[in-house]
Amino acid sequence: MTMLTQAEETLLIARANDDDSAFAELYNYYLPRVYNYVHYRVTDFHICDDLTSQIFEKLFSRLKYYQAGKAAFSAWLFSIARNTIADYYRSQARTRCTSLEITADITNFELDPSDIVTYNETQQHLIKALASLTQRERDIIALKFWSGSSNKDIAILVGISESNTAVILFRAMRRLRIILESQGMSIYG
Amino acid sequence: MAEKIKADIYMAYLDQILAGKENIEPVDDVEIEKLLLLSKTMIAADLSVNIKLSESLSKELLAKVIKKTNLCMLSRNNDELNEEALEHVAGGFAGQVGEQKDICPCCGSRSTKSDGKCPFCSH
Repeated sequence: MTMLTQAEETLLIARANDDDSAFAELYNYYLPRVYNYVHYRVTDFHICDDLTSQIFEKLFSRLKYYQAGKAAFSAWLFSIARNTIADYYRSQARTRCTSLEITADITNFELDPSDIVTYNETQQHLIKALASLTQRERDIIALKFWSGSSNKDIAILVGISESNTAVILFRAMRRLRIILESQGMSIYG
Repeated sequence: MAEKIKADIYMAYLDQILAGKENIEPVDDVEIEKLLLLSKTMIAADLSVNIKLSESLSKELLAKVIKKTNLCMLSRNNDELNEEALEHVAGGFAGQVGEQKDICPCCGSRSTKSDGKCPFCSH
């Protein structure tokens, strides 16, 4: 993926307000990162597609309100993504009567046969292992790996200190490694 | 090594990997090294590869976004009536007012008021 410079990104955002092709360009640039972020938070890929679409709908309709001086565009976009996922889990919690924000969302998670066709072995192991982490752990890992936000921005988004972000990420990665190893996945070549 | 120090070292190395730096200094700590290998595996296991392969899904998502947003804008524009529609609405309202002239505001009688007074309550 070609990285945009700050100036190119600012210009693209300004054009995307009135120009569908510029929005498409912005969309294609951010889609892989948003998609990965959502998939790290939500295991089902059908729901992931739907939420990704919702996030870009919100982005398109709110783009004119974005103020470059207040926050980095990626931090702004990923706050929309976080809120969209929080809304999704809130609606799920209402029907299941459990708080999915603080617990792992699926226990003994097994991939759907259609997912197995979609993903390679590593991806399958990863999705399955992520499902065993808490939502906060998944959120921090997803933000760190895919949002492109600084550690400071991630700390602000999650509502914790910057040094705490490093410790929580470290613990979450440690847990993820143990889970993957217990699945028999070799990540060391 | 204290967990906080390990976490900071891991974060510093991870930032280099995410920035695309290839020649990273070797790590002394075995656990941090394993976590960095896992991090590289996770980046390589890019889940969006599937949507790149399935271009139709990406196009479908974009089309859905633009269509839905345009529909919202269209319905917002429909709230602002054009001149013809405004005349139509005003005409309807004028008719209602005309009808209401025959209704006594005091008792609600619909009788015709020839002298301007209501035949029922004399209002």
